[in-house]
Order: sequence, then structure tokens, then C-alpha cells
Amino acid sequence: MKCSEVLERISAYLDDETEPAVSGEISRHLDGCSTCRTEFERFSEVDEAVRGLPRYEVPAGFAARVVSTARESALTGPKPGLTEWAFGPLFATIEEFIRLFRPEAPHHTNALQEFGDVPSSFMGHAYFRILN
Amino acid sequence: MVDPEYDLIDAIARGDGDAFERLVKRYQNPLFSFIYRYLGDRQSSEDLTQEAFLRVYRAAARFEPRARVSSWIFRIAYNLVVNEIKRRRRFLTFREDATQAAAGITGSSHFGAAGIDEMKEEIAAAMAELPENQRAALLLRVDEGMSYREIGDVMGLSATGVESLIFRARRRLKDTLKRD
Repeated sequence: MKCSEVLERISAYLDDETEPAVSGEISRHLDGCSTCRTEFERFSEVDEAVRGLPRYEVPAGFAARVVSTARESALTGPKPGLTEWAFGPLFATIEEFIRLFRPEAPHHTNALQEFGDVPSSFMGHAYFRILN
Repeated sequence: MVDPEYDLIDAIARGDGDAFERLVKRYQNPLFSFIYRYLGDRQSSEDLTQEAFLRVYRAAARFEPRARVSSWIFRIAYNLVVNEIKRRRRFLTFREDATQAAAGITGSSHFGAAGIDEMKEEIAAAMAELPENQRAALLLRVDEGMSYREIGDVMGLSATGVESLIFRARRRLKDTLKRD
């Protein structure tokens, strides 16, 4: 293996991500080539330096706060998005209007019931109403 | 090999709050540290870490065991961070971002961490100046010990793409160290 080929894969070799045959070739090359060996050591030093950087921790009680927020959001459901907030009443009125002409139509189709989180502003509600 | 954490996600999907708490406790610091190295401020990083966990909680029922749980969680966090950086870029120049992130990495501005030598500060500043995808790939490898395939799952890349990112990141940091 040439130096240029070794240097190209040296980072992957350091991570043990080269194919076994390639790893063997690089290993043998490093034994006999001080230039590439120095380069390999420099790459390792970079990793050591990165590993030496401080690691940060969340404050005490963080997990409890996240769990509590998750439980609250599960109880209250997702907040309405901007579209639903802005156009929800309009779409609801359209649905009511359609219902005037099709009073026997079911309120929801199975197709939409499969998606519990579809907002009421979704045009599909009106679409399925027309279909039915 | 089947990821033993699949059971944990299953339990969360069934509404098991204790399982969710176990997951949060297991990942809270690695996730927070990963996010903090990008954003450089504690409050935003805490908020984003919490948001990542809430998304995990809400999406647990839809989780498909094609990737490891750790890759899935970090992917959610990575996407949040990338979006946050894009949002901030509308208001900050890259240089300001990088400086802010460097301050976060060295810990000097928020934590007053003592004993960080000059070389570490240099490498921290150089890390902050790396392109985001190179920084993420290197951190996931060095800090989290992920394989190239797992990093690819997080970042939506092939293993070869990950290899290239990590190689370029190391080469750039190596040059920084060499100059000193």
C-alpha cells in the first residue's frame, strides 16, 4: 500500500472501520513507515484532545421535569398549530354547511379515524364528507 | 444483534412512565452535552434536550426497529439542533455563532471550568469552526463511540460519507494543533 492510500484511510483505520484485509495492510505499512506512523499518532492526539474537552450535565431534577411535561402533554394533547388556529373555525363552518345537505352522512369516515391526530382544520374532513 | 433498548421503547409506547424516566436518565447528559457543544448556551440546550425527549415520547409508538435506539434519539436531537442553528443564522453571522459555540465548548463563559489548558481551548475553538456536519460526525464518534453506520443513521448518510466527514474534521483539527 502506498503512503497516499494509507493516509486516505488512516482515520477509518483509527476507528476500526476499515475492512480486515485493509487493516492488515495499513498495520504492516505503519510498522515500516515513520511518516505515516507520525500522521497516525497526530490523528490519535486529536481524538484525545476532543475527549479531554469538558462534558456537560443537565441540572438535578431534569429527568423528573421532562417526565412530568410529557405526562401533561399526553393528557392535554398536542397544541393546535397556526393553520388550525387561524382556519379551524372556517373549516368547521364549511363542514356544518355540507352537513345541511347531507344530514344522514356519518360524522367521520374510517379512513380519517385511523389518524387520531388529524386536526379538525384538515381539508380532508370536508373532502371525505363530500365523498360520503 | 437486537438492541436491548427496543423493549424500553415498547414500554414507553404502552404508556409506561417509569420506562420513559429510565430512558431520559440514560441519555440526558450525552444528549445535553452534544447539543450544548453546538448552541453554546445552557438554557437553549436544556430546552432542546427536553424537546428531543418529548418527541421521543410522542413518537415511541411509531418507532420502527431498523436502527439502534441511541441512533434514533440522536437523530431527533441532531435535526432539532440543525433547525435551531438555521433559525439563529437569520440573526447571527457565522462568526458570532462559532465564537458563541466555542465559549460553550471551553466552558469558560458559563461554567468557569478551571484547568482547561491552552491546547484544549485551541481545539475547542477549532471544533466550533468546523462545518456542522463534520463536528457532529466527530462528536458522535469520539464522545459517543458510535460506529460509522450508526452515525450514518443519525445524520442520514452512508458509512462512506461519514468516513469522509470524520477524516476531514480530524485533518483540520490536526492542522490546528500542528500550528501551535
